[in-house]
Amino acid sequence: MTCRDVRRHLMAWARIGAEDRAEREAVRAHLRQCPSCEEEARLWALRRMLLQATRTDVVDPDPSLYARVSAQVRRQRARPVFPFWEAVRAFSASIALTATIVLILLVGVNIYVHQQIPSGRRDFVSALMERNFSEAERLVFAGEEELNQDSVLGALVAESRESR
Amino acid sequence: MVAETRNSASELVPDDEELVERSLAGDAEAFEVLVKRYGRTVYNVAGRFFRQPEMREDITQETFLKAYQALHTYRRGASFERWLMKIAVNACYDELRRMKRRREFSLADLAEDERVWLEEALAKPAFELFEQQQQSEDAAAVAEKLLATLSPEDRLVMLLYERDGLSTAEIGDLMGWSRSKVKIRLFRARRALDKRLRRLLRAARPTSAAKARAEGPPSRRAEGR
Ligand SMILES: [Zn+2]
Repeated sequence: MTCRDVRRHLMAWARIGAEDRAEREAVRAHLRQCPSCEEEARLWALRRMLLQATRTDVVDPDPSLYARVSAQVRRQRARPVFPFWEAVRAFSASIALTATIVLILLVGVNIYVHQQIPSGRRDFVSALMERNFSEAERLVFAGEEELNQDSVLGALVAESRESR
Repeated sequence: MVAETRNSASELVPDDEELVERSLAGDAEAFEVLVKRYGRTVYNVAGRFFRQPEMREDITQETFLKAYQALHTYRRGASFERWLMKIAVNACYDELRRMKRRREFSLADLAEDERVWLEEALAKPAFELFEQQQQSEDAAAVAEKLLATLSPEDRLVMLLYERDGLSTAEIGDLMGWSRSKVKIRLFRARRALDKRLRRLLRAARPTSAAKARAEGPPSRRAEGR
């Protein structure tokens, strides 16, 4: 098992836990002799432990809650609602969001292009430069569900298209 | 309602759609049946984000109030429960946004017990940490402090995706976010959290005492470091 395989497994374990026995043993053997993967594994294991610790059991609310909620809804019925202002607020928020995304995209693409371009990524970058967003997106998402730098950049591209 | 022509069976157990229609027609009791039917579920959705019962109760109140105001937007044939869950998760998100965000997080912010928990955990091989299942109050307290430093979006996706195992599509559907937005958030959330964890790991290099405790037989927890 290579370091890359090990890390791919660990990333999945951090989320859904380890299931396959053979896979677990292979990872365990690798971690024993690879300090750098052991270090990374520790980080992800800690993240998993902490997140799992925030789980709470399903419980019944205080029985009086239902009556309190119903009473509040009854009071609300008396009051008129102005969906208009809600709509105005939502509209201005969406403009701000779009502007932010476009800005992030511009800065992000700029930084990306000015970094060294790894071979094999040239197609993606040239598609991006030619503003061929659908091609860029296809290259990025091709058979890949994991979250890496490329997939996020692709998502940014897709986002900018949606908001236009 | 007065002009009820249904048979007694369906009147005993009216379905969600019927209750929504009656509520829209001004029948307050119909909505109260929905509150009783889904109050527990909403309360426990709030429990995914907040531990304090008062907070969960507030979220439940807010969810049903919002649902009542938006009842005319519920589409016939869609799952009422799912529609309500979206409102509940968004109410949680709103609450996360209202909460004060912690600026920093360091080892010094941990209580003594929490620090002991962390050091004992870090003294074990990483593989064993993955296998560990037991719940710990100390771990929950550390997690709480750590999550409080994240943005509301980061916190939400971390819990729903990493902890609860929801897919990016499911989160997008719940929040009304595009899948791209969920992915971007996830990437940033992981990076933000891991950055803090790395710092914590560096600061909390296990002492030999903690190593001995972790390897040897269980000993007194409050032992000095
Ligand atoms: Zn390795």
